[in-house]
Amino acid sequence: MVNISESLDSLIEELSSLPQIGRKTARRLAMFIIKQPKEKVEKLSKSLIDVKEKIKFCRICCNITEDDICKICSSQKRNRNLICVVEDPQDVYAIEKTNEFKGLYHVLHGRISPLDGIGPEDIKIRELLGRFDENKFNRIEELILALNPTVEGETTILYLQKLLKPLDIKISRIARGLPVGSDLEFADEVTLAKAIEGRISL
Amino acid sequence: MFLKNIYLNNFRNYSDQHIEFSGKLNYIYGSNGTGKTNILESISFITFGKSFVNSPEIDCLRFGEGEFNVSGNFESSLGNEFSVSLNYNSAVRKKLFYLNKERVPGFTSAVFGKFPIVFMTPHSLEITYGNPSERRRFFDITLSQISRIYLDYLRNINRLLKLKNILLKSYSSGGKITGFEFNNLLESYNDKLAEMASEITVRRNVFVKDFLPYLEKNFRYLISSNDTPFMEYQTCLNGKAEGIGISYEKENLFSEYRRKLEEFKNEEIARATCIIGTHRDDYIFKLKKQNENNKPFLLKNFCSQGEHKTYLVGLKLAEYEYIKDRSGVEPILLLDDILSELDSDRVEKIISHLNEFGQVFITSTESGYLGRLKQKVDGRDISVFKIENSKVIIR
Repeated sequence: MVNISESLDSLIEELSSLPQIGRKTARRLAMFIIKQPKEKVEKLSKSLIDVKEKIKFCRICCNITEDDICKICSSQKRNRNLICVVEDPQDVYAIEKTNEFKGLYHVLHGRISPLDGIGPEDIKIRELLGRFDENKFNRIEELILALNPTVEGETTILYLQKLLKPLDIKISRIARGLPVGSDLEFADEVTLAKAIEGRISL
Repeated sequence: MFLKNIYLNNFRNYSDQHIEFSGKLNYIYGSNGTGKTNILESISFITFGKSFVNSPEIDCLRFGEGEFNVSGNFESSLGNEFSVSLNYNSAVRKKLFYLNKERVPGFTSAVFGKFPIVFMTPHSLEITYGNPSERRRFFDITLSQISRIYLDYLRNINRLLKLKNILLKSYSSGGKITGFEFNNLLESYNDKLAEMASEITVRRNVFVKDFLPYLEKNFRYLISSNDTPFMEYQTCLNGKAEGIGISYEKENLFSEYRRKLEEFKNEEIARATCIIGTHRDDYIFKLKKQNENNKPFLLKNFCSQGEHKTYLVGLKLAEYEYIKDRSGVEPILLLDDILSELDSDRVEKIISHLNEFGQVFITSTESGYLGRLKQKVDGRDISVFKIENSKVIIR
């Protein structure tokens, strides 16, 4: 194949290193960028730099924010005795969209997975423990562990549970089960079995 | 349920091959190395998700090509049609599956078990002769095809064992993890492992009890004496000694596994590998001989080659019947080159069984068996294929 342009190849290379982007999509995106007016491309590249320079982790919950302390942690309307622990910032957005949870969050930025070289010290567990310092923060009464129901997520839950046991606080995990509004007969067997296992007495 | 046709593109030695199958018996013959097994292997890809001889996808790629496609059309007993396609691309090393032309996110949840298969290859003899892993694989395949939940536990426990192994190895090689963190994480893995292992053990134990009558029935059909087969499920909990029974209640199994994991904790750390778990299970095959005070013989140590082969055929026929009963679907039977492995007596027994099976695929190096097949099965139900120069010729 004839090498058309080194700068184009480099852009395709960079784009295809992004998650969910394969080589074909990267090529298509690169072609789109070439066709754009210069101002638009400048704006795109500036926003890439901006986001990298301005976004940092909240000092309390480790969620991404432009301030020292994120909007949720600094809000006076939130229940400061309740913390929901999630794997990634996207999970915060997902739960916020429900408008039902009024506590604070803690973002771990991953889960323990020796397969990917991620140990307990590589995710924000130390920061989570720091939040139990009652001289600095409100007393935490309950922790909700909302990690993904994968092998890694579940074992990270067990790890946190052992770690937090001496603190003697209420710890819960979110339920697994059927999507609301769906029919039993269309649920896959594994989800249905988990839902039966996690049944609630009436 | 049967496979109406298949299309192979750059799969093994086939660049562009379409084959229409009979809903009953398909006899494929040709010299060694012409690609008979490859056809059965392609069927295993679209029913089972991977190669039935366990070869990696990259090996199935036609020399010099970048991707292969396999697609097949199935017809259910009610006349409904399904199409399953697989595309493998070597550049991204990815398998994409399509059900009825629509891309499915996971083969396991969308397709696996829908079109059950039972296969017998020369390698199948390892089930009775070989390592415990061969027996686990055989029964795992049987159980997975009728229970998605079992398959889910199996995949998760394999992932967990992998995680735990890496944790143990990185700790023994002086990784960055502290002693406290290591201990806490190992305890977490052991808790989860005990939970999953007991779920799997419960199911394997029930399975062995359910499966035994099927084995007895099919074995007795193969022999003239009154010998009876017997099989036992062995875990790291009940050990090798005979007669040590354990309670197979889930709660009891959990605490037993948890206790065993604690007992072997130091040894697991020292050897940096998982010792306790269902990955060490075995199924013990025995034969109760008529004239020998009814004392069961261990198949592995005390039985003749002929008895091994009879046992294997019995196991496979039992597997067929078991899956058929449990899933309500007639499995597709793939018999790869077994006519050369088994003696004519056993072949005769299988052949006379053929009318009771659904769709069957047989490969052989010779056309010699055809005459005998035609005595048992209506000629209209037999399709014969000869393979020459990587082309399939209908006879």
